[in-house]
Amino acid sequence: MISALSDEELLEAVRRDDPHAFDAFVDRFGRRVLAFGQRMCGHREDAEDVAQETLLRAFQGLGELRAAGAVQSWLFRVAANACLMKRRKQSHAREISLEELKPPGWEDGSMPEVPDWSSLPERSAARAELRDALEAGLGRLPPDYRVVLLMRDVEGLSTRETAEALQIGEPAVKMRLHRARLALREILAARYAQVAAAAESA
Amino acid sequence: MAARPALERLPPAERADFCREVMERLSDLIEGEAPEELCARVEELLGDCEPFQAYRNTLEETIRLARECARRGPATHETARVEALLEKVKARHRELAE
Repeated sequence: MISALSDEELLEAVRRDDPHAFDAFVDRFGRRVLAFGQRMCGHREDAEDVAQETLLRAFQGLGELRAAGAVQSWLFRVAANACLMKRRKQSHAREISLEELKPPGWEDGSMPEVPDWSSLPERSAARAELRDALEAGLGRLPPDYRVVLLMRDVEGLSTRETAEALQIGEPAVKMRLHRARLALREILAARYAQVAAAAESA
Repeated sequence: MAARPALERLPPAERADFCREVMERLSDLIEGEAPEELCARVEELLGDCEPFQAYRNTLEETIRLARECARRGPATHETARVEALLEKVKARHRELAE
């Protein structure tokens, strides 16, 4: 059964023009590409355009790939570039500086108390709030930082794969990922503070 | 809140440099990719700093929550739309392949 093939076997089947292989390829990767586009573009119609464009380009481009392991990198490279092209038309890129993310008192070791929301019960309402805040927070990151976090942390690509996909150096990937994570942490901390305050006043 | 005793032993300029380095390398520290020497210094100087530990823990949790995103599929009310989109791609491929 074609759906049971490994990524490598499926890639081979697509290359051979197996009549059912491309459909299986769309079933296997389509939802991830669409979800990536939705988180990257923040706009449903743009995400659908990106997903269609990416998957149909795969039909032409997969024959050139040397290894199945490169399929994910290839797909997300195409999708990421399509998303970034859409965003560039709308807004100017913004940098995230460490200065804006440093908590007060960090540099002299006099930080005030920091609420620790890292061990909330898995099924708690508070943790669900943080998950929702994270999804919303992704959209607030500058596109060049958002794409790195989506590729590295959400889609699980390596630093090297992400660097190749985005045509940037590995140090740039690591820097943008770290700052994106710090910025998201601030968003979640703010949300937790709201949730905790609401619980106290209830 | 006063500075933690261990960190207070450093002169102010050195303390600022150390804290800046920790801030820049915190993802590496969490993922076990920081040099042993830095890990040891962090343990020595910030091991008993509750605000730092809370900050580090919440950054780790942020990373965990981001990684969980991928396991969440489309919302139930979106399933039909997603399926329709995938069918559209397959149909377009069949047109192009002819």
